[in-house]
Parts: sequence; structure tokens; C-alpha cells
Amino acid sequence: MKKKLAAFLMSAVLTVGLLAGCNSASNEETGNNDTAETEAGSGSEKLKVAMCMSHQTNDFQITVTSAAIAKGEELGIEVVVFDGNNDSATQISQIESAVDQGYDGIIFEPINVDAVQNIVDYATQEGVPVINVVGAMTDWEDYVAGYVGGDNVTAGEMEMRKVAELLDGKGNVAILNGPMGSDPQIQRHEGYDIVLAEYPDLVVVNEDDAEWATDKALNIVENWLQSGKDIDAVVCQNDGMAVGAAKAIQDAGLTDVIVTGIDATSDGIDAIKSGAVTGTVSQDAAGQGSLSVETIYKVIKGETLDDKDLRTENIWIDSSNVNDY
Amino acid sequence: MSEYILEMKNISKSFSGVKALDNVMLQVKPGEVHALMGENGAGKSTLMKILMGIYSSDGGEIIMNGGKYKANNPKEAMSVGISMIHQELNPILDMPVYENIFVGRELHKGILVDKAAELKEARRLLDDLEISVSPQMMLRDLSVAQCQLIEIIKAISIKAKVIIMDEPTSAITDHEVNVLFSHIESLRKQGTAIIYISHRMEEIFKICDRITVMRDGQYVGTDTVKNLDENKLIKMMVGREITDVFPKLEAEIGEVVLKAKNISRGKRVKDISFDLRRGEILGIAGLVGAGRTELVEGLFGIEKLSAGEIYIHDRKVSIHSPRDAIKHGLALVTEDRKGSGLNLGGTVEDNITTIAIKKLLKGGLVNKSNMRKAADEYIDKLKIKTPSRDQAARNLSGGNQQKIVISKWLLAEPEIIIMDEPTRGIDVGAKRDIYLLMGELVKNGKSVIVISSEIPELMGICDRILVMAEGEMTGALSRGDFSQENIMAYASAIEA
Amino acid sequence: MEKVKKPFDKQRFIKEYGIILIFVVLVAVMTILSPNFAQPKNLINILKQTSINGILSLGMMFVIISGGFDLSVGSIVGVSGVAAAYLGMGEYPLIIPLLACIGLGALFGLGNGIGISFGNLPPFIMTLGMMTVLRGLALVISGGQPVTGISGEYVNISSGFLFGIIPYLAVYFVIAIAICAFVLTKTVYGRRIYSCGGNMLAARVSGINVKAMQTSVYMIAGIMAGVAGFLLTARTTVGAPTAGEGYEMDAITACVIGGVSMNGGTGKWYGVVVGALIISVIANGLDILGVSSHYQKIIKGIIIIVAVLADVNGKNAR
Repeated sequence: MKKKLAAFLMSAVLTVGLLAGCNSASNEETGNNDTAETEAGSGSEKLKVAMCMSHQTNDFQITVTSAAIAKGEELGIEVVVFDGNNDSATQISQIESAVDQGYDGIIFEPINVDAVQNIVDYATQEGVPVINVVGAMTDWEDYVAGYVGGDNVTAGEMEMRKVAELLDGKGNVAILNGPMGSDPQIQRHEGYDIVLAEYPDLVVVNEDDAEWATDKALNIVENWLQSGKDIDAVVCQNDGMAVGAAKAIQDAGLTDVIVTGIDATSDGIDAIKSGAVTGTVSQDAAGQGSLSVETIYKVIKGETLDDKDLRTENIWIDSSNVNDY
Repeated sequence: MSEYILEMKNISKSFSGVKALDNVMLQVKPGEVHALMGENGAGKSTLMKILMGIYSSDGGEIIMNGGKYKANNPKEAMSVGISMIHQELNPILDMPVYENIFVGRELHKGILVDKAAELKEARRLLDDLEISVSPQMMLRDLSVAQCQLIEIIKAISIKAKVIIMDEPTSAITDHEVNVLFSHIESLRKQGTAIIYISHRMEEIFKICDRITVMRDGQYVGTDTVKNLDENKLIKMMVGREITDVFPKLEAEIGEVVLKAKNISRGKRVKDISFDLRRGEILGIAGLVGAGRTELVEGLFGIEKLSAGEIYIHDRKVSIHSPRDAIKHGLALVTEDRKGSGLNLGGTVEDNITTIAIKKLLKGGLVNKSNMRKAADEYIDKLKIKTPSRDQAARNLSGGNQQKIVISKWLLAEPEIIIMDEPTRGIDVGAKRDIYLLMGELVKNGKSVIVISSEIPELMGICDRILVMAEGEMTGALSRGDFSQENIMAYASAIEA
Repeated sequence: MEKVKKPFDKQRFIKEYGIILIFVVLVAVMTILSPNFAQPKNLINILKQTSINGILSLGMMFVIISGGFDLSVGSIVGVSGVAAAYLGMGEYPLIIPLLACIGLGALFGLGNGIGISFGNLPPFIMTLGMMTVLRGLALVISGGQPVTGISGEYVNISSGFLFGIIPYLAVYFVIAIAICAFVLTKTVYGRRIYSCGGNMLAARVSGINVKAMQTSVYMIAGIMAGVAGFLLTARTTVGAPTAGEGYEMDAITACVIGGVSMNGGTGKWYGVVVGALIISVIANGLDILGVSSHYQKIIKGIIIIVAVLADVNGKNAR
């Protein structure tokens, strides 16, 4: 009896704590049991669109979804965000539920670009329009109505090109990758490779996987700086790692090492303002979010899209324009 | 002012609806050695655990030293002067002896441990009890007997007014028992009362003043040792007369089934050779540390032999693992049933069917009804006291647990059964059942090797006895030549 | 009664101090492979890099020796790091975020302890649940984004140097080591932790309040994790909700390599310190040589297996 009472109290306390916390969070759900059914484009009730993202644990992601929700309110659409927890199976279940629960449209960012073909077919069979955002599934033109996103390849290219300019085409470069094999990592590196091929005097002296994490980046760069090789620039695939790299450089007392990132998240912006990080590439996260909702709205209404492939602009942010962000 | 230092009156206790104690009474005088006896499952340990604060009673009262008493945990019990040597040893293996002795009551200066004082006191206690163990040794490196001696030291050093000794001599030799008894004498003179729980009649009659008997959770009676004898005592405990304690069934002794030649295991077992015949019960006697368990572990393939050959039915066999041993028809009921004999979390049925499970398959798959039948058969044959075959093994008394282990082996139908201290910690009734079982086995043409530290037991049931001392075989006696003095002499052949 | 004099037991010596030998060999190998390894500046870096995991490992050590297990410390680092970042922007004196971290760590540790000792939940399950809950909490409090803008003074806590050469981080680590070593080896409380881990039943029947002991060690682990979170925010200059992910594994690794048995009851504080150092040395050395961090994972795993093999076999050999 005592055992059960204790267990119950524990769960109650934890649950209450969770619920209290949940209420203050953004409009997030991980699957609800709303059984309201709406026909696509019936117009009798507010439209409901499911937005299935890979995760919601950083600034970039949250900017995308916040902008999407805001755009939805403008257009009279309720946008419900789902967090896929970086797990492909979870995402597939979420898309399936969205279809079964009668959502009018689905916007999603594929966690695994090759795993979602079947579920998109299912949605299409059931008459639910689907578009991709932030990242595109393989052969997206054959499956979804449109793709709104940044372009990781051009973002990586822009970043490396800026570095090349700042170094006058010559120097030692270190690269910090996101989790190896993930799509953003592969694509951003593709961008790097394009520029590196053009500048033979730009040498990659160090490269490693820092898993998007600030602390891992810090440790790795701290150790690289002791390896005896000169480093002129640390090119990071995201701002989180750039902040860590910048700190290591600062601790080592070096002042003219270039550090760059991608994503324009708040930590990166702050670091540019303080001068620690040289610059970052914004993929206009807000733009992606709101444009995706505009696009799905058009598709639900039955309009034809002039262009199915919609990319937002990459913008280079450094000390010269950081105050606009 | 009561003549008693401790009075337990009308104590009752139930576990999940099963009544373990029903209005039990116990009254102990200061300076007396009071035996608490009863078959396994009679409730002795439960009663003592209530006294020690490990369990709480459902009803009744306890008066300690004139005041009403209820301990909610062992610490409270110890603070009013009650300490206990537990039947199931509780050594902390990776801690040295001196730390084990002072667990829970560490000698300290403020918040700091006073290691020097602990070492000094530990050495003194060890010397007092003539235990040749260094206080810095890890308990992992000590034998079962030595661990028990440490437990004894623990309880004695608490300087309690009442010391409960639950089977304190089950693992130690006669010599060490004598040392313990002389200590009990001095404790008695100091006015310490001792509640002595044991199945060893000889010891009870030697050292105790009065005996309280329990049966099936109830109080049967109390009397002075002078007024009782073995038979009367057994009658009180069992409710019926048992005329012979060591029943010996006659069996035909046949050809040699096992021949061990020059068996050695490093320093522990040195060049042992012996024969075992069909229908024979062969005993192995010796002091603790003589190497008996090491010998049979080697024969059974649990540990490697450094030299020697084994012949079964005149054919040389190589036994590298228990599996090989089982294949050749051997069985080993180990010394430590909880450690290496039982799956405590499993049910009676689970345990009994463990080894011979292949025999119970149907179509290659586990067949529940076959398993049930097998379990029931042995529960009946060995008179295992359990509410059902689905009872978890850990809930049964020691004697019944031992019967389960034996059943498990018998189900595999071995030819040669080795039993290492099979009746340790078991009551008179169950012991007798096991002796009868051994007799039946050999009558049916099997052979039994039994290791025991109780010489009377070996003398009662064996056809021959081998004696070991310090790894060597020092004597071999046939039934006609059995005598306690001879056996003891061989066992102590090499004195340090 | 003569005392038995024990001859020099080579096996025991190796078992007790073997880990230090391994560490020395490892450092020697790294030095040979790359001369940059043994530079003073790099060695100082190694100390810095070891400190945070080291402090975490010391807390974990208490839990494992007492027979328990704690998967939640990484999440405690994350949550307390976020809280510290919010409180460390210069509004309050730095003692405030530090106390907050200690308080949160103690609170969550208390939660773990109660669930395990009074609720009888297996430690693995309880701390797994806590790990998940706290990670979610960190994300919720921070809104999913790293908290930036901590004060320069706060940053200096981790990047500064004592007398110009000894990094503050190493100082904190040494202080933590001193306290933990003292408690474990010299106090009654420390002795009882070993008793509980060695044989909980024996400890209980000997009068030790096992439930209180269990609860207290999880609080210790929680507090150490809170302190680690406080320091990590200073070191990385941001309070990231995802910080500390996987740190519990490194802490357990340091303990295991250092000779703390997963069964409880054994383990020396210097083993854990050396274990944490070994992890850092491997990471540092491989980074300098330009070897990918993926290989570090393989090597760490192999060392864990080897360390435990040695421990288990050491026990069985008699």
C-alpha cells in the first residue's frame, strides 16, 4: 500500500509539473484526438493544417513554425505543429494520424528523405494535399504539390565563398560538421566543396563532427589549436557550433581567426553582435514558414502553382547588417 | 521486578493472510542460554525478526528489561540491547573484516571513522575467539565458516543484553564450536541472555538451560533441559515420535561405479584416490578448509583439476564442465543452496524442472502439463511443504528449499549423487526425510557421496567414510570401524 | 596467536593501481605520436576539459558505489545550465545562479532518491524517467533556444586563471575531488555508502538507515550535476537546453574505467579521477592527431569492456 501511494504521488507531482510547463509553451501538440472531420476546401469550418517538423529544439525550427502559425491566423487556417523528435517512424505516424483525423493539408519536413514515399501516397489517395518545407523528400516533384525551403547547398556555398573572400583565396580552413550523414550536413558540405574546388589555395586542415553542439565544438577546436597547425578560419555548419568554436579561439587569445556559421539563430546573432563570430547565413526561417502556409492554402483552394519549387533567399549576416536582425 | 529480562507475549503475525505466528510466548531470564526449537516453518526466525525490528508484529506485546518495547528497525533493537547472528549470513564481501564487524556502528571521532581503533578492537576480538584471520582480509577471500565466525564476533561485540544466535554453528567445526561455547559461558556469567536456535540436539543439550518449542507457528511449551531428552523434544517439535534419527536402509553393494585416481587441484586438493560402489553411501568427513568441497567441485567439472583421472564404469571420462558431468550421470547438490542451488525468484515447479527439462518436452516444445506432473510427483515423494507448486522458492523454509534442489537433480535420473552438506540448517523431520531418500536411492542401485561436518550424521548413514585434512586423504573407515574419536583424529591429522 | 604477514600481492597491486599505470602509458603513447600533446598549454586544456565531466563523475561515483545508477545527470546539467544562464546575465551576483543550480540539482536528486528508496522503483527506470522529464523541462523553460547574454563576469568563472596559469575549472575540480575523497574515505557516512552497496540487506539489519542513504547519494549526484551545469554555461557562454546530452554516459564510463563496480560496494575516488582524465586524454590526443571523433566512441567502448573484464575476472580468480 505504501509503495503504491508513493508511486501515485510521484506521478501526480510530475504530471502537474509537466502540465504547468506545457501551458506556457508554444502551440505544440504531439497528436491529439480531435475527431472533427472536414472535407478539403469545404469552407464551413476553419481550415486545419498539420505541420510535421523534424524537431523543435532550436531557434531555427521555432522561427519557422512561429511564422507559419502567424501566417495561418492571417489566412484563417489553424496550423498545428507536430514534433517528430528526429525519429522517422514517429513522423510517419504523425502524418498518418493527420490524414485519418481529417486535416485539410499537410506541410512536413522529412526526417529521412527516402522513408516517406509511401505515407505521402496514402495522404494523396485520401485527398489530402501535401507539401515539403525546409527539406525535400527524394523525388519530391512526383509526390508532393510543392517545396518551400532554404537551400542548404547554396547556404553552404555562400558561407564558404564569404570565407574565401575574407581570406583572399588563401589559407587554412577547419570545418565543423553536423551529424555525419544527415541531410543538412551532406548538402551544406556540397556547397563547401563547390567553393573549395574553385580555390586550390584554400586548404582544409581539420575536419570533424561536432553534432550541432556548442560544447563539443568548443572542446574540438580547443584541441585543434594545440595541434600545431595554423587555422585561419573555422567554418561551422550551424551557429551553435560557431559559438563554441569562437569561445575556444577567444580562450586561446587569438584575435584574427574567422568563425562562421549558418542558421542565424539568436545565439549566432548575439555572437556576431559581440564580435566573436564573423558571420552567418540566414535561410530566412520565417520566410520559409509563412510561404509554406501560403502555398498549402493555394493548393487546398485548388489553385495551380506557378512554381512548385520555392526557395527563400539566403542572406549573409555579419557585423555590417546584424542590427537588422 | 520480573525474573525475566525479555518477555514476548501473545505475538501474532500474518503474511498475506497466511498466519506465521499465533499467540506465541517466549520468556528469557538474564544469564540463561535459552533454546528455541521447532521444525522449519515453525516460526522461529519470524519471531526473532520481530524482536529485531525487521518485522512488526500484528498483535501481542514485548517487555524488555522491564519496559514495554517495540523496535521499528534493527538500530532501535540494538540500542536497547538486542543483537542477532542471522542464519543467512550477511557478509559484505568486498569489505575487510574489521569494517564488516563494525557495520552500522562504526567507531568514530565526530563524523570521521576511527580506523585505528577499529583495527585494534577487531584484532582483539579475533584473537579472543581464536580466529586466525587478519582484520584486513576481504570477506570475499574467507570461507563460509570464517564468515560465520565473523558474524558471531559482530553479535558478541555489540555487548547486548540479549543475543539471538540463529544456527550459529551450521558451518563451523567442532573445535570452533567449543571456542564459541566457552565464550557463551563467559557471556552467561556477565548476565547476558542468549536465545539459541539450532537443530543440533547435541549442542542444545550441552549448552542450554531451558528450551522453548514451537510448532506450526504456535507455542508448544517450555521446560528445563534436565527434564527433557531427545525423544521428548522431538515429540514436542514434530508432534509424533521419531524412533530413529538416522534410519539406515539396507542395500546391496555392488561393483565399482566411480574410480577417482590421483585427483589434485593445486594446493587445495592433493592426490586423492578413492572408489565408489553401486548401492553405497560414501561419506567425506573433515574440518572446514580440508578441501572436500573443492574435491567434488573438481570431480563435477565446476573447477579445473590440475591432475588426476576419473573412471566411470571402468571407462576413463573427461569432465570439463557440469554439463559433461551430468551427461555421465553425476549430480551435485551444492553446499550453498541459495547461492548455487536455487532460482529463488522461480517457482517450485520452475526449479524442479530445470535440469531435466528436455525429458518433459512434447514435440520439442515445453509442455506445461508434463512439468506440472513432474513437480507434483516430487512434492509428494519428498514431502515438500508448500502451498502450491507455483510458490516462489524464496518463500519456502530452508529444509523445503533443499528438498527442491534435490528433486531437481533426481528428476535428471543420475547414477551418482554427490551431496555437499545436504542437511545444513534443516530440522529433524526434514533431515530424516533426506536420509530415507538417500537410503532409497542406493537401494535402487544408485550411489551417493555425502560431505558433512556432523560426524554423528555420517556415522549414522554411511557405509564408508573417507577423511580429509588440509587437502589430503588421511583416513578411510568402514562401518564397523566408525568412531568419533578416530574420525576426529584423522580430520585433525595435521595441526599447524 | 601469530599474525599472518601478507607477501607483496602482485595481483592485488595491479588491480588497485592498474588504472594509473594505464593512464601513464596512454599519456606516453600520445606524447610519442604527437609532440604537441605534451605542450603545457595542451595539458592545461586537458585539465579544463576534464573538470566538468570529472565533477559529474564524482557525483555518479557515490551513486554507483551505493549500489545505484543515475541516468538523469546529463539532463540535470541541461536544466540547471539554462536556469543559470537566465540568472547569470549580470542582474544578480553570481552566487545566485550557483545556488539555483545546486538547489535544482538537490531537488531533482531528491526526486530520484524518493522514487527509488520509498517508491521501490528500479534506479534505471526512475532516473530514465527523470532524464526524459528534465530534458523536456529544459526545452520548455528555454523556449527551445539557447539562452544567450550571460555576463562577462560569469564567463570568466571558467576561462579565468588562478595566478595566471592554473585554470579556475581545474581548481573547482580539485576542490570537488578533495571533498568527495574525504567524505568517502574518512567519514562514517562514506563508509556506510560502501556498506549499502556491498550488501544492502546486511547494512539494513546492522541498523543503517538504508533509505536515507540511498536518497542522499542521488541528491549528491544531482548537486554535482547542477554545479557542472553552472560551469558548462560559463564555459560555452550559452545556456543550451540540449547541453549535457550523453554526459551521464561519460560519467558512468569514467567510473567503470576507474574500477567502480556496477554491483556496488567497491571503487576508489582516484580511480574515477583517472578514468575521467583518460577519457579527456583520448579525445584530446585524437583531435590533435586529426582523427575523427567517431573513433573516440569506438575506443571508449573498448576500454569500458576491457576495464570491466579485468574487474570481473579479478574477482573470480582466487
